[in-house]
Amino acid sequence: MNKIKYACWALLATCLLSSCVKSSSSTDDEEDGNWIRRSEFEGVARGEAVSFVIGDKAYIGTGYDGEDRLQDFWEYDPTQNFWQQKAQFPGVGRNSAVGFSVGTNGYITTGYDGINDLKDCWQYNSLTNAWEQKADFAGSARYDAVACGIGDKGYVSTGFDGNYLKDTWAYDAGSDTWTQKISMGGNKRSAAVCFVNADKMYICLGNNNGVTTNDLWMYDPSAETWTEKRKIASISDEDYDDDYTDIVRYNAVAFVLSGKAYISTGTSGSLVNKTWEYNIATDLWQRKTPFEGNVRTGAVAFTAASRGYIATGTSSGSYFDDILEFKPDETYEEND
Amino acid sequence: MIRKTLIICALYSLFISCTPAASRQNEKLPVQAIAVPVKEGWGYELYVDNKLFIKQQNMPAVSGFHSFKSRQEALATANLVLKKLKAGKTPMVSIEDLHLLGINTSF
Repeated sequence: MNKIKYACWALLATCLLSSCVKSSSSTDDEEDGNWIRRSEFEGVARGEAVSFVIGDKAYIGTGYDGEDRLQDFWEYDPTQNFWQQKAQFPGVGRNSAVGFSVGTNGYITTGYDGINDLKDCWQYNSLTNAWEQKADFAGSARYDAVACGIGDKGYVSTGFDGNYLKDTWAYDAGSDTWTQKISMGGNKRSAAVCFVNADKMYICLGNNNGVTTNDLWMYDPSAETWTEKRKIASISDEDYDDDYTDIVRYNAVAFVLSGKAYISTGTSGSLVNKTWEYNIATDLWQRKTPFEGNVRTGAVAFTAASRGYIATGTSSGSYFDDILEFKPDETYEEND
Repeated sequence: MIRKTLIICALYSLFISCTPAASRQNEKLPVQAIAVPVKEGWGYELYVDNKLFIKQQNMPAVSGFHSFKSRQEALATANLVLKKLKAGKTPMVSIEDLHLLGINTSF
């Protein structure tokens, strides 16, 4: 009996010893060598950043890294996969702002600086790499709104200012003025997504008081009308939506590739990696490969050079810096 | 007692057998910063794991398109970014950082 006991202790000691050897071997030499541990490699890591696209380049900036609300601003070249730091965002560091682009200019407005909801608006001129303050957003200061650029105007809608919102505003870049438009139908909400196709803005997802919203709305800027599309949950008597069990969520991302919108990541009770494809022409959703990176919320997504990307985001104290390209036709595998 | 010790040993061996994943996290990625000549001055490139990560053709954080006026300035800035990277920080440079390096940012 004692023998077995000793053997066990010996085994335990060996285990401990071997673990010591391991850890000491990984802390050896070259403290100042030209290397970095993979786990410590921080790229442009952050959550709740904004992004917009000008030409074939994506711009990502602001956001929160767990310590600071950020003002650094980056250009990402999707074809060559590298970053370049651009002129520093001159507004106060913030998270959950919105970004949109009109022509060769990008705009960042609204957001949260840790104390205040914000409504200042800043223009980034990609031709001069310079920022200029523009007319304040004319709605209430807020965060977790959505925004997009269509033609020569930017549109900002929904968000949270202490209350959930659905007022909608147009920014005329030429005259630097904000005009209120008819409010979105359906539920007020924050942390929704919007995407643009054929000069129309679509808003869906988001939450109202922590409850996910299941309606999808299309705004036609030329007619100034909102149209509701089919619900994005399994609630009709027909069977087309029987699988619509996990589309709703908030703090998700959306991007458009050749007439189809994709939504992925976000939160709904817990973090969601499910990806759905919205066929804009048929108003029908189809399940796609789940997001393959670390599951996350507060990411950004963009379409640049006809390719769709999801980047940055956060998950329980981790802030991600990676960029994943989504290839809807190549990566779909039933086993995934 | 014996059973307890055996369980501890078994768990420990499991833990050790798991460390390859952890050691991948500890894997050393080579990082390198080089100064590169650009139009009217200098810029820098940062490589992580032998892949281009940052290509800075103009001064970071500064408005406009201004290159570094010397190779030394570009390299000093690149090395600061490397230092931040190695400290697990975002590889960003502020205008104050540039001033601390003695680099003029008023144009």
